[in-house]
Amino acid sequence: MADQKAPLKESKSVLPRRMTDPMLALKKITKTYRGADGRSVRALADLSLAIERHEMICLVGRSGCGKTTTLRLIAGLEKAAQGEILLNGRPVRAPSAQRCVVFQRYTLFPWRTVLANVAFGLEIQGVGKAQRLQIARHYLSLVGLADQAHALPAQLSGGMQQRVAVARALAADPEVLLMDEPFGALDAQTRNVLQQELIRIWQNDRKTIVFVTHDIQEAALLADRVVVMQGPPGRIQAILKCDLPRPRDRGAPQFLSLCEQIHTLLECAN
Amino acid sequence: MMAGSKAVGRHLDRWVLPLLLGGLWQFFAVWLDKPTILPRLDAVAALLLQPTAKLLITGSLIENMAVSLIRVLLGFLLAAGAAIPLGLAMGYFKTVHRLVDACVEMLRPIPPLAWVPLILAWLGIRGVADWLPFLETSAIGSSIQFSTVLIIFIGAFFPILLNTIQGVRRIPREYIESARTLGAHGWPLLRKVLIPASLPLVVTGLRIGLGIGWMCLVAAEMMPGSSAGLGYLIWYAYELLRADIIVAGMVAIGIIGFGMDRGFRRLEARLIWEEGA
Repeated sequence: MADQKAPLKESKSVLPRRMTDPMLALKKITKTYRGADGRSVRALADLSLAIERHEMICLVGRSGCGKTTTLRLIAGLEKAAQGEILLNGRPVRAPSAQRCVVFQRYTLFPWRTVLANVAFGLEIQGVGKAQRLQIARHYLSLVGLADQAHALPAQLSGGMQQRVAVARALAADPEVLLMDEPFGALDAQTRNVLQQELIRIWQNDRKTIVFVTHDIQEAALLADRVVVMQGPPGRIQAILKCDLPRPRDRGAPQFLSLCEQIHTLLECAN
Repeated sequence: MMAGSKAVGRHLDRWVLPLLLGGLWQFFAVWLDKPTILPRLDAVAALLLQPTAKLLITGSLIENMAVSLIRVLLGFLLAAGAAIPLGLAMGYFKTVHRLVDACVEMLRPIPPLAWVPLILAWLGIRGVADWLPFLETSAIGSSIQFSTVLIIFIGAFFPILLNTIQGVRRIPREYIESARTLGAHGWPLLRKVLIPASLPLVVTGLRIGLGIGWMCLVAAEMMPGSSAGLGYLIWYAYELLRADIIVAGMVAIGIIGFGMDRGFRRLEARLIWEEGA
């Protein structure tokens, strides 16, 4: 494990680099929560991470290791106690459409049709009705649900709802797409299909994605780099680069050895 | 054929008991022959079937219905206008809730009718038309007292407020967080997410509030200064021992209350997206 406990600077040097500054930089982030007994609990300790444009990053770790907290900090839904997060050099202070989140739980607005859900971000941005519906239709067909445009979310299956949630986030055209175990509540087969679809979509537009999961295979299947986290308090244990060509074969020896590598890192965390 | 006759049979089921009770009533009314105590149902029906005929000196049944309805709607709309914004604020902002909640919880258990003496001491029998002179021109407009409207306001206010607070609190956190990460904040967040997401419970609150406001009506119309309205009509008929008018007035109150409740229930049913399909 050469890059175990690899801090920011060392892992940076491994990357193919063109620009000096990463697109998204987490600099020595510490996050504390007020625990149930009133004492403050450290959720993240001195976490630093640099994410490049067009990169698909997976944060892997057990529950409680702070991976979701990290994502929420990037989204601006939580505030760091110390450190700062820079997106294109600008500090992140509050949620914005630059950093859309797809959550694990179904979050479509139940009073809006599927199409109106996908158009929500554009509506907020003030895009005219005809144009935003056209864009929404485009993203809806991208996730294969063009014919469900006028259905209500409650009429869709869980997998379909998450597809719409992905389309809704993509339609807002964020700089970074944040995904918090988006397929975690789905059955295994649906999850596989959606993983493949995400890869297909990503290969077309190369959106920068930060993807949180506890599923080792999922991380190995999707990521350019897998960030293995341990905690609490959450910190980065290792960053693994995976450059297997996509779509990846779950049976291939390199894939299995990557999974094994992640597994070992997670095991030795405790 | 079978299904049709079954449906009719099921429909008949529901009317057996009302018809039986009505029959008993009518039987005793005829047998007793004391219309000041137990009016015959045909006399009541005759009154209800001629709603525009003048009753006593209070005007027709329809006029009294209109006065009552306008009072209740006025009190109800004022209550909704105050309770919904306050409820949204209390549901969303913890500080607002902490500031206001103690007051709400202390005032809420006081029955609207307990306010009557104090409200009379404050407002007397002043009419709304004193302030809005254009109302003076109509008989209905000039018979709306502040005190009546205020009592209905108090009755309707709390159910609307509490349901609105709950409506906001029950919005899944992820809805709000999704909306915020899609760029919504401030007014658009309120208008496009918080209000629609809390709407089902707000409408439930409106339904209950309107129902309670309507129930406060009779008591409110007993107050001095009232000279029209279904509640007033009932009391006036009592003084003249006209039990047939009392019952007709009661039936009219029941029908209107039932109709309003049904209307809101239909609206509620349309707002339950989660159960759609």
